[in-house]
Order: sequence, then C-alpha cells, then structure tokens
Amino acid sequence: MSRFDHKPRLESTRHDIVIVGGGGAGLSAAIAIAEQHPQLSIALVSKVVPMRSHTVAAEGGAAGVVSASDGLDLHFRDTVVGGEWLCDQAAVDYFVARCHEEMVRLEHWGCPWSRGEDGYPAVRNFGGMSTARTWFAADKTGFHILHTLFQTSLRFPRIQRFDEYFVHDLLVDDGCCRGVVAIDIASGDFHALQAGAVIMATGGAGRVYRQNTNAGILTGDGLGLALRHGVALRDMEFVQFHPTTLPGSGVLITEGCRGEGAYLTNRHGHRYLQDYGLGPEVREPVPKTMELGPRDRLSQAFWHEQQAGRTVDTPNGPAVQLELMHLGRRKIAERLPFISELAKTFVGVDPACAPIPVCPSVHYTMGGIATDITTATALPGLYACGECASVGIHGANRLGSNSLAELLVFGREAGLQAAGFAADQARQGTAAALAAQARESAARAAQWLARPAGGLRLAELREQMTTAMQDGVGIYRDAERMASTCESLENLSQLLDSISLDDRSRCFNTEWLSAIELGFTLDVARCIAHAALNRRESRGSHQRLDGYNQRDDDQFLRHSLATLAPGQPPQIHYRAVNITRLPPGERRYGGGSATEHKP
Amino acid sequence: MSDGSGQIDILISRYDPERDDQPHTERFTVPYQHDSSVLDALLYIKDRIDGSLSFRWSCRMAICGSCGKMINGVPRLSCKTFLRDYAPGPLHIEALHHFPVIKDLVVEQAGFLDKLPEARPWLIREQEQALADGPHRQSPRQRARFASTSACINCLLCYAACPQYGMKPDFAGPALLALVERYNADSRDQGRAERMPLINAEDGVWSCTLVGNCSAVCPKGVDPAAAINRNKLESAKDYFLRFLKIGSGGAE
Amino acid sequence: MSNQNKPRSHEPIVWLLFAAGGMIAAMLMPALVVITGIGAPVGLIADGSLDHERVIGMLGSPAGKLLVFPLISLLFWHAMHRIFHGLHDLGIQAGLGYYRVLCYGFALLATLLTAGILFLI
Repeated sequence: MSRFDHKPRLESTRHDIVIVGGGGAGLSAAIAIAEQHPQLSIALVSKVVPMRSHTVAAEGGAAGVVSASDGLDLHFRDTVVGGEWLCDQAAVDYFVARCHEEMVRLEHWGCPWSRGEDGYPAVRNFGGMSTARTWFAADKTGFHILHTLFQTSLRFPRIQRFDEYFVHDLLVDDGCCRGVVAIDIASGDFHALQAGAVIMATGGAGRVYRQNTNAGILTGDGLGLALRHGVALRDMEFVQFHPTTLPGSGVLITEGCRGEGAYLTNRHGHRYLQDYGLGPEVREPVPKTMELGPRDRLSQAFWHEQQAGRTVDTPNGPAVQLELMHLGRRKIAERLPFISELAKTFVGVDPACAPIPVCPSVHYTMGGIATDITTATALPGLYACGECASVGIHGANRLGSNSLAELLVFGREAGLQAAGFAADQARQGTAAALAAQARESAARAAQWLARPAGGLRLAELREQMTTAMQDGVGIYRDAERMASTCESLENLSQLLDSISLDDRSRCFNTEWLSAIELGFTLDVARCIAHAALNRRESRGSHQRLDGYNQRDDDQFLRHSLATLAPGQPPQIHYRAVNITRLPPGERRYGGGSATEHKP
Repeated sequence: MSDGSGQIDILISRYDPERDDQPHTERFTVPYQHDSSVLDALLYIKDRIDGSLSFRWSCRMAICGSCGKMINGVPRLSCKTFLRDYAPGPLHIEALHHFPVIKDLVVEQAGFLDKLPEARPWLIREQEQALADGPHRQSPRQRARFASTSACINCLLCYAACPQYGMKPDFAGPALLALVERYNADSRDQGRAERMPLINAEDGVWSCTLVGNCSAVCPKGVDPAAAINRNKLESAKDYFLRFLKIGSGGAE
Repeated sequence: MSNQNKPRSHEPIVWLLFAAGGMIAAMLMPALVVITGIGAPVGLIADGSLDHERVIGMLGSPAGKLLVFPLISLLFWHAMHRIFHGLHDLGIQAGLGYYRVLCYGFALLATLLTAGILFLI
C-alpha cells in the first residue's frame, strides 16, 4: 500500500515536442517528426493506449484522387461545394494535393488497403464526391490506418509514449505554449512535460450530445484546453449528423454501404431521397445522387420524413431502412464485413436478409481549434490537427472520407511545423516559471478529490448537458430552443463546482478524470450553442426553421470564432472566409434536378 | 435466458490498492433492456450507484479493444456481451485473468504492450520503395492471406484465456504471435528473418501447447492458434535448415 | 526492444517426432479399425493373413523392419510429448525438468527397445 502513502507527486520531464493524442493525427505527427528530425525527442501523451483511439472506429475510407478521369480540381470543388463555401480554399487546395501521397505512404507502411484485380488499391464512391476516390480497407479503414500507424511508430525509439496520461492543462510562458500538465492515470500522480512545442490531436467532441457515434473518450479535451488559454474555436455550430447510425446507441453504419449501392427507404419502402432534390431514383450508385448525396442533406431528409410520419418505429426511436439485400451475401462479406457483424450483434439483423434500421446521430465536430493552413494556432508553440482542429477544409459540412485523409495530411504538417518551431526555441530560462505553473495547476486538479460529499452527481449534470444540446442544437434549429439551451448550459457550468465525487482515491480514478472532462465538454457545448444562435442563416449542417432558413452570404459567408472568458458566456466574432478561386454558387446534388426541398 | 427487460444481479470483483489487501465482491442490481450490454450495466453502476467503480471502455462497438472483462469466468468484450443472455443473474464480472489488477476491473497491460516491438510489427523491405513509385501491387488473394490475422484489436481476451500465458508471463502470447504471422504472410513484407528469433524462442511458438482457447474466445475471428501452429512448422524447418544457410535467426 | 538475443528453443526436435507420430496415428488408426474391427470379424481378410508366423515373417525382412520401426517408435514420442504438455496444461509446474526426463526418456527407451526387438527378429 506504500505506493499511495505519499502526497501526489509532480514529476517533470523535458522533450522537444509534446503531442497530445495518440490517434491518427497524433501518430502521423509523431512519425513525421521521428523520420525527418531524428535528433528531436517526442513525447506522445494519450489518455488511452494509442490503438484504442477513436480513429479505430472510422469505417468507410479516406479520400485521395487516383484515377486519370479524376483530378485535384474536382476533389477541391466537391469539398468546397460540400462545405457550402465556408471552406478555406487555400487549405483545401493544399489538402487535396497531398491526399494521394499520404495514402501511398500508408500503403508502404503496410496498410491493408482493399485491392482491385489489377493489384492496385481499390476506391469506392462516397457521398458528395463526383467520382470514386475513397480508398478503403473493407469497412474497417480507420482501424487499419490506426494500427498501421501505431505499429509503424514502434520503429522509432525517439517516440516516447505516455500511455494513459490525462492532460488537464497547458503550460504557457511568455506568450508561448511550453508544455502540458498531465495526470498519470494509474498512479494519480502529476507529470509536467515541458516542450519546445505542443501539438493538439485530441479528436472531436461528439460526447456533447446524447446520441452520437463517438467513443466515450471524445469529450473535447483539446478544444477546452485551447479555449482556456485564449485560443478561439472556429465554426463550432457546424456539427455533423451522420445519417446512418443505429437508433439509441448511435453505432456507426458506414456511408460505404451506400457507396457500394445500398438504398435508404421509408416505412412504405419508398426511396425518399428523390423527394429532397437528390433524385432521380437510380438503381446503381451514381455520384452525388440519391444515397450518395452529402450527409447534411441526408440527415435533413430524415428529419422531414420523421415529421411526416413516414419513419419506422423501433424500441429506440424512429428509423428509416438501409437496404443491402440486393448487394448479395458475397459482396457484403467482402466489402462490408464489419457492418454485417455490427448489425447482427447490436440489432439482430443480417443485412443480407433484412434492412438495417438507421437514423442520424452526431458524428463529427467540423469546427475546432482555429489554425492557419500550417496548423499553427494563435498561441505560438501550439499546433492542432485532426478533428480537434479547424484548419478550414470542411466548412459547413464535411464530405465523408475527407477526415481520415485530413488527419494524415495535417498530422504530418503539424509534426513538421512544430519540429521547426521547437528547433528554433531556446529551451532554457523558463523552467522555474513553468514548474510553478505546473504545481498550481496540479493543485487545482487535485482539489476535486478534496471536495465534501453530498453534492451533485457528475452523471446528472452530464445528462442535462447532452439533453440540452440534443433538444436545442439538432439537425433543425430555432432561436427559442437554442437560447434555452444556451441558458441551461450557463447554469450547468455554474453547477460544476457543486459536484462531489464518490471516488477520492488516486489510483485509476476515472470519475475524477470524467469530472475534468465534463468541464471541457461543457465549455465546448457552450461555444457550439452560442455560435449556432448567432448564425442567423441556414448553411450546410446548420439549418434554421425560424425565418433564417436561407443561406445569407452577405452577412454570414464568414467563419465564427468563439472565445471564452472566465465567468462569462462565450463571445462570438466573425472572420472572412479565404475564397481563392471558386466563388459562391448554388449547391446542387442529384441528376440535374433543381428542386430544393425546404421546410 | 430471457428476451425482454427486467433486473439482473451483478457481482463485481472490486479492488482498491489504496485500501484493500485482497479483492472482494460487491453486488449490484441493475435494470436492463433487450439490447443492454454488460458495458451498459457497468456505466449504469458508475453513473447512478457507485462512481468509484473503475473499468476501461471507449468505442462501444467492439473495435477499440478496451473493454475486455471476465464475464462468468469467460473473457469477453463487455460491449458485445448482452445482459439478456445472463438474466436473471447473478452475473459475475472480474478483471481479465492473467494480468495484474491495477484497480477493480482495470489490469496492467504492459505484459503485452512492452513485447510489441519484438514482433517487428511493421513492413520490412530490403529496399524501400519511393513514394513517387506509387503503391506496391498486391492481389486480392494475397491480401486475403493476412486478412484474418490483421483483424486483431489487441483486446487481450486471448491472453486471459491462455493457460500457458497464465503460468508463464514471458510467453509472447497469442495476439503477438498472430501479429508476427500477419506481417510474415503479407506479400509486400521481406522481414521474416528478423521475426524468426521471436518465433524460435522458448517464449515464442514453442510455449504454446495448442489448447486453442485463444481462438475460441477471439471476438474478431483471428484464430491465433492456427497462426502459431503454422509457425511451429516454420520454426522446426528453421531449426534444422539453419545449418544449410546463413543468417538464420536466434541465439543458441 | 531487440528480439535477437532470445534463447532458441530446442523443442522442434521433439515436436517434429510428435508431429510425425500424430500423422501416423491419424492415418493408421482408421486402417487398423477397418482391418481388425470390421475386416477380420466379417471375414473380408483372407484366413491366416494376421497369423503370428506371417507377421513375424514380414518383420524378418529389412523392408518390414523399416516400415514398422518408425510406426511404433513415433507413436511413443507422440504420446509422451502429449502427456508432458498435458501436465503443463493441468497446471503442474513444479518438477517439470524431472517430468521432461521421465517422459522423453521413456519414449527414447521404447524406441531403443523397439529397435532391439526388431533387430533380434
């Protein structure tokens, strides 16, 4: 028992670069640094062992232009139009030019991409993409990418892993980010990691909502950390609802199903997407048509079907039907084996025999820590990449398969940029100030364990938050409900201090970590709700019912930036969008049908 | 068996190293629906009854490999195991066997993680191909040869099921040896010789006595037992044929 | 992280004997069952085929000795290897070195005895 007799320790180590998050983006950054700057020491800090990170759950694929008939310009246009012009076009150009190279790099590292008969990696159709350009490894693409990256990272002894270390604060000195403070989860001791540069790669914040596809770890820690140190979150009102997930649990049923030719039908067996400007009804998959429309449109169509009473009732709420039966057992086994396993396990459906009940759930945080095209944030020394970042490529609606590509392209970029920054930094002189900061931060975190009993339960607060978000900032929004959500969230954040924990121990105290996470999640939720309330237009995934149901380029072809000062509601500012070559126009899907369905 | 909803008694093996000398069992009663998993029950307990219960979990969809537990003595993923199959209980949940317990249902995974680099689990080429030369060619049939071994999610259920690993923690174990086979069977890889020392070692394939529990409990159909047995033949060949060639792996 | 210094196991020697014995058992047992369990009682085997003299006669030839020696000895290796590892599976850890000598020693003894007897025939 002696291990825990002492007061919490505060250890301190120095590294050239600290990476927070061991998913696809963090590992890409780490490997890029280790390869290009082998003299630099890298600390990879993650609250879970890297291969548990949520990249593992991505299914459908990663975009990268391959065929001669395709082109970078087409990928650029699909992405910008898909994001309803709220994309940073320079960032999109940079991105699409590097996707293919990253897919090949992964191939060279052993990623088991699915293959065509010619031996080259195969590509499949994806929503909103003009042609097949989504690389895939059956329907476990994220799993294979993550394990390939993790296993490849083991080649580099310069990558020092801090598995199951929970970062609860940044160290900032002299206007520069100089490291992080973390809790060693197993011991409950604190650990300050000082560094020349810090990379945030902590993933999204889907846990802000009640029904989501996200893992329990996606509590928006990185966004909350940046926010508390004055870094703005950009475009947070744009939350992606994935149209095909299991009712209740939100377990993801990949868009790859539709890429392979699955149908979506309502309770009458009607392929309803043709009624929402996505037709004509086609039997074989046609790019940007019917089931291959973008996610925002498909989730919105579901909402209308539900309003009209044409959905199917399940024990976990309304659903539509995802039909794969016509694809045949063999194709399902080859291309969609995981979907088959998930459907059988979680809803007792064999997709070769019966449709899978699906509905939209929160899936992806399109906004994030505002960065420039080089992944640098406004805080010198702090970089961000992957889902926690907003480098500006997704705009108001992300296209499926752009995010796995993003974490490779911008993970690598973040690694190289941070390495350059760290190499320039004198690492002396600030240690004492940082140590004092770390002690203070650790003491604050430890206060959770000293709170008196009898306060509020953590889970109650969390449930109130997710319910408020689900009710007020869903697929369709109006001022009244958003304002009410904003108010609830402000109240909840006042109550955070009234929580008391059942667990006052230090060893693997996950309740303690959840409490700190909830602080981050609540801040992120407040930014989402306030940014949504302030955007008085409809664009991409942000759709309003209260008179602002049209796009308004004059007022709102602008990024929102949310900042947070202690004790105040989030402040929302706006900044111009970088439009280099594709001026705003009409966003059109389906085979030339111009009819738009609006509520 | 019951297919509806109701209440189920759950016995959980608890251990807090700051207070307890020995693990003890606590009883909880939780409600369940037709689709409630064991993980749902653990989350219910943590959220509503006792926040001090510690366990790992993350994706909820049987792909991250975090939530393995002993469920009525059998290693299983708690997100993929359903309460309806155990109602009305009692259902006994313990930490994965064969690993030291850190707290409650959380085990120390170093016994696996620290061994990973020994498998050389990355693509090894005599000459690395330049990015500009594009991807390697690989036919769908060649890919199929390592499709099952590459499906391992490192959930460690196979280690909890393996009596050999239980007695001999230095044994490389099923998942690690399956990982070796995953790369050796990949047509793009040329690193077999580098991996032979692990295969040939006393703690490699030769510690396996073909009990087969690993393959029986695998939630992803990896079949480590088959992978190990294939490599026994490889190792036996290597043992005798090494005298005929240079550069075979392993110290004497 | 080096795996190059791991001591090599010598298990392949006994494992190959075990595997060969297993192969023989798998192939031979069904044949024996057919011949002795069905063929002989039903009268499908010609009278006298399995008589002592005829079998001894067969073993008297070098070809016969060569056929029967691995057949008998490898089965011993198979059985003793299985028994030895069965002890491990049953959780018997103490004195494994002793059991190892006992099991494989017995197989070796049986092999030598087989060879000796065949030589004397």
